[in-house]
Amino acid sequence: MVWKGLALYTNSESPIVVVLSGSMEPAFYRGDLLFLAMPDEPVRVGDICVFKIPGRDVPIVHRVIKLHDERKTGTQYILTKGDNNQVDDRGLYNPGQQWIHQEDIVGKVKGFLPYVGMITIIMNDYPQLKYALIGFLGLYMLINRE
Amino acid sequence: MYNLLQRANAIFAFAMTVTFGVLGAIAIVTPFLPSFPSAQVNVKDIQVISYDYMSQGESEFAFVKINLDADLTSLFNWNTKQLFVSIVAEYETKSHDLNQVVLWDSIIQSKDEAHIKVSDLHNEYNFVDITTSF
Repeated sequence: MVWKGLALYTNSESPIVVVLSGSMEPAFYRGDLLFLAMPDEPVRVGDICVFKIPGRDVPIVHRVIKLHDERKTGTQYILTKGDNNQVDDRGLYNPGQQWIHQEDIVGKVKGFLPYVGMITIIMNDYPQLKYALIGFLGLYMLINRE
Repeated sequence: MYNLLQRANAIFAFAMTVTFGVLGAIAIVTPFLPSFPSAQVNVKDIQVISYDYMSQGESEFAFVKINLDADLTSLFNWNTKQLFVSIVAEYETKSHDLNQVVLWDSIIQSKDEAHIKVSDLHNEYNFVDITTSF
């Protein structure tokens, strides 16, 4: 309920995400929590945007380094790059895709909390931990009198 | 009376409230901290050469040489984590009303590195338009 309210307020599908890779160091490290919002203002060079490549689930958080706004159609041609990467993101886009557009962007980074998202990463890397935690919680609920 | 779990829960909830209160206060104060950065960007030379580029074909590439003198030391306050500095070429063409291309960027992590003085800076990234000529 709170999650959906937050999604509505920030105008973004998933307003809180965990950083999974080190491609934006030293700004964001693996395990940081990012707060996103999708404001009405247009995308500009230098914005740290979260976008999804069409056909892929995983969102990517990188900075916009090139922008070309087509006058006739209003389409924005955007190129992104992670601060810690040597090359731009064309290697990550779909084969033959050279730009992304406004529709692919799901939010801009508005704030962050360091380290908090580490739990999600540890749970994903060691699923035994996830099962152990669920088992422990289940056992606790069964034993507890109240 | 109160068991251990209830006490732990109360402590945790209070800690969270205090933390977010402090974070909120920091967020409100930070934009008002004074800063007076200054920068001088002088373009010394531009050369345009055409190369074959992706699906666009033969396109004009601009190679620029820039003198940069930027004093960003005042931007470093107690709440500054890093400065992301970039030189952006912004221009308008017939078919595209806004074009922004980053020519060079740098990450500054401490006040000592904050006075940037470089002559003959070359653009780090390809300076090429989305159409075949500028």
